[in-house]
Amino acid sequence: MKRTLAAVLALILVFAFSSAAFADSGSLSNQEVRGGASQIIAWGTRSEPNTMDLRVTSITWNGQSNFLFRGYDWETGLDCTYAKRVTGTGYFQATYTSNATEIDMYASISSTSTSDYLVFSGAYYL
Amino acid sequence: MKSPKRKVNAYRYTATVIILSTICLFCCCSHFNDDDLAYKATTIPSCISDKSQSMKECSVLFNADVIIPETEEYSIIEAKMRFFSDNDILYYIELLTGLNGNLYSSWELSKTDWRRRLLWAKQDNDDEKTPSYIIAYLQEQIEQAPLFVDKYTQTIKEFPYNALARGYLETGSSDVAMFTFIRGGNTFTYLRNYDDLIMGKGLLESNQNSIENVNMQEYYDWLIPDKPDISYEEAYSLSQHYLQAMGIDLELYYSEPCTVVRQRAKKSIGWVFTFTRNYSGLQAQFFDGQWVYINPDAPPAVGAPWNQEVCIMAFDKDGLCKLWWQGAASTSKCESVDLEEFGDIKSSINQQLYQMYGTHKNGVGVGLDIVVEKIELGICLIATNNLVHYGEYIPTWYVNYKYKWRSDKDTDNLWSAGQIMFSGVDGRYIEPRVLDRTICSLKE
Repeated sequence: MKRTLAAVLALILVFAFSSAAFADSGSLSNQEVRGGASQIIAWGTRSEPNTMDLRVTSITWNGQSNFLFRGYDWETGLDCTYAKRVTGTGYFQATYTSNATEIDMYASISSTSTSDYLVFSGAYYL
Repeated sequence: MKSPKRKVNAYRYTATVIILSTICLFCCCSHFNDDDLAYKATTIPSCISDKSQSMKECSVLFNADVIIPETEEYSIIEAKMRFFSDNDILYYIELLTGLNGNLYSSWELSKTDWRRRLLWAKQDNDDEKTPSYIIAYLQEQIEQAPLFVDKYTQTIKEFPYNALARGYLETGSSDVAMFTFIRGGNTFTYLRNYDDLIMGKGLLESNQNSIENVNMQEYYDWLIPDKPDISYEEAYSLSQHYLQAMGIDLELYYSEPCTVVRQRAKKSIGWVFTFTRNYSGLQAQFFDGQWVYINPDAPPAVGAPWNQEVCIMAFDKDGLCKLWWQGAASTSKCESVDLEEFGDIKSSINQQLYQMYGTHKNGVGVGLDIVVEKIELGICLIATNNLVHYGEYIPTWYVNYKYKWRSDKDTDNLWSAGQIMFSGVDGRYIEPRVLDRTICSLKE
């Protein structure tokens, strides 16, 4: 009985690990976005057939504005979504425009000074 | 000389004529009001331009064209998810390539393959020079590629069931076609060559505005499509052939020139077509690459049962480069319905935008200016009764708006575009671009 229970628990652990390992998702905790060129905030192998998902749960603006997100095809350096101006918390989803497999999620603010920044938290799913 | 009695009779006669005329006129007006189409034509304006709400945090203005396509009736159409069998998938592959062999499960190029591509890219091509970015990219790939590559084929049944799969097929001229599909699902895509880049003019032009791309300006300029190498008519005619052969009963929604970078080395210019469901003159809308925003505090009433139904095809002078078919559905019986009063829809738009954006403030504590620019009647697919394989196409108001921070200047690059949808039947805020189960999870 104990052996069976242990085997079941082990299987559950394996499945839990597998789903975490294959899901190209993650959390973004107190992520800084600085002024200047846009920055990669998440990357991974595309797992959804055709959408990039982003959940923003908090934003500390620090006087900044024009908080932009954009999906890039890592291999070609070309956009695979349009840019999205984020104005508040919530759920954001974009369809991919190409068959990109390795995805970078970029973010930027309007300031050109790298000492300017905002902070946000949330999660992504590529 | 008229007698007083005759005078009274004349007055009575005149009064009777006036009363009868008034009654007739009233009856005629009532008759027109009973006529549904005439009623709608008089109650839905062709444009609205008024300041509907003025609040400290957020303002919503209407400066919108209202577009109602001609239709005989408004209907709810039952839709059922299609399931592609292995035979369907094999038939599509044979139709698109003329081949029916087993598929490779992965594909990688050797050094020799990349060297051949580099030579091709360096060949003089008309009057246009290949950008230095492409040459550098191909040289880097030669460095990194293996000398030899092992490849394995597998039958369709060896691909996973009910999961996104990818297969490759050599089709000659160094092209390796790629297919993505879900066995037992409703998605099927084809690329003439697996790593060709195919991008529409709209997205490429939006690249030009992004500050992070300044180092690649030459490359982006080169990518912007000019004159297509294939005529619109020829490309459209080819698209109709494939739609018919694959049993895709969708109609043209949108077309634009596109750039195809073949095997990452050579450019051709073609046309890309987007096909969506059209019923009785009302069409579903689809914009590739655009973002959807949902505020979980003001969520839509319902979402989609499966991914939006759309077929995208791109063509250049050598024919079909890409076919992207997702969310395939079959439709059946229809039920005639009345439209919700337009005045109520306008009020819902105003209320919903305020609920979505009313609390948004930027770093200097300023809210948003929102301008509603277009309100267009179409159809969209939504889930019904939490079913995942069945849904309904319903009359839908597609509302396009733009927004910017009030503190920003009124210049084009500081405005962003957004779109929301409302049921034409009951005025509910709906979201056909996001799965209903995702929306349910946001509400938890």
